[in-house]
Amino acid sequence: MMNLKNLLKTQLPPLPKWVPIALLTIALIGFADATYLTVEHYMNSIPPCAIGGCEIVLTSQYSDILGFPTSLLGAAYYLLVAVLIFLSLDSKKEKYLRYALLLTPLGFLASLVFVSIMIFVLQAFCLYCSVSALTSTLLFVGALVIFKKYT
Amino acid sequence: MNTNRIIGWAIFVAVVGLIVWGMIAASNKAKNELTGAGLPDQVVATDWVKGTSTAPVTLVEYSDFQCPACGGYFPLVEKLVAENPTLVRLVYRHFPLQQHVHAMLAAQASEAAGNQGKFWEMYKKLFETQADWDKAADAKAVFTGYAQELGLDMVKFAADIDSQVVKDKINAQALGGARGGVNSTPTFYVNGKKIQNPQSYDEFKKLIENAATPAA
Repeated sequence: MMNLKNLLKTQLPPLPKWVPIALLTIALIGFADATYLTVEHYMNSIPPCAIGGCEIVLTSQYSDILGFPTSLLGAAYYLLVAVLIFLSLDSKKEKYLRYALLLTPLGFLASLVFVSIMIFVLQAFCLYCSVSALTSTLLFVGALVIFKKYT
Repeated sequence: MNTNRIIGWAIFVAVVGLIVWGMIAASNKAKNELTGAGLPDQVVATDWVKGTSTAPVTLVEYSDFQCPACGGYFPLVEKLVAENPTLVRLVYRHFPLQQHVHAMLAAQASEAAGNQGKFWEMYKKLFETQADWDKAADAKAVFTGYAQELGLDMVKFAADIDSQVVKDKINAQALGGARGGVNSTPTFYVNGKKIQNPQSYDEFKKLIENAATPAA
């Protein structure tokens, strides 16, 4: 069983450069998706109902957390992960990548909760929300593989 | 920090900025996409029209009784027509969305009421009480109750709400709308041209007034 304290300290060996670049790309895709939803949230005082049913999800009580649109929190999360990955690429210090990877369970758990709400509570489907669930899952799986292989 | 690292960060910030800008542009484009597109089907005798036929502006709304946004626009549209009777007339067309489980039945209830000359009364009732029947297990019972309140002939209402003629009319309007590019509700057409949904009553009123004054 992985130990968080160890993970925080354990250094990752140098990874092939495409690995952080791939993770950075996924984080930026997630950021783009969450940003789109945030823009939609703020630009429509009355969000229209579209074929596909996003409005059920985006206007539900779960679309806001403490007054912030959930998508804005998502965008902040992806941006933080992207900045950390870029910081590690830029500074050649692996610890920033490690911090980014350690954040991914948060995004994954949040996605898990929201996808469950979508399926079981709202019984509605929203493509944009699903894209975010996919990117956060990919980041988490990437982190798992890296830690499993190198620690 | 050496120059390369500064350039690297500048590129990163630029990419992030570009993503934000791109998403704002994408959101705007989606809204503007069909603005100005022509009305899918001309106004015909079977359309529900509210207001005087001599009004210079015809507002066609593709709508869904269970759509929260349509419910949100309902008071605005009502006020618009009530306060500007010589300026605008409203045409209501059905566009029930699949994700709204009672939307089709609500449309059928409105048509059934319409067969007894009370379409607009039912329309008003359905929008005003949207939150009450949105999650109802038996929406038909709720709509039947409204029909009773409106003093309709209940035997005729019960027959009409399920009649194929009523369903066909709704489907024909929705299909026509979909073919013409309606993909969300409410979608408004002012004098035959699709508009971007106004964000306030004043914006809506201005739009109508501008349409009433022929361009110089």
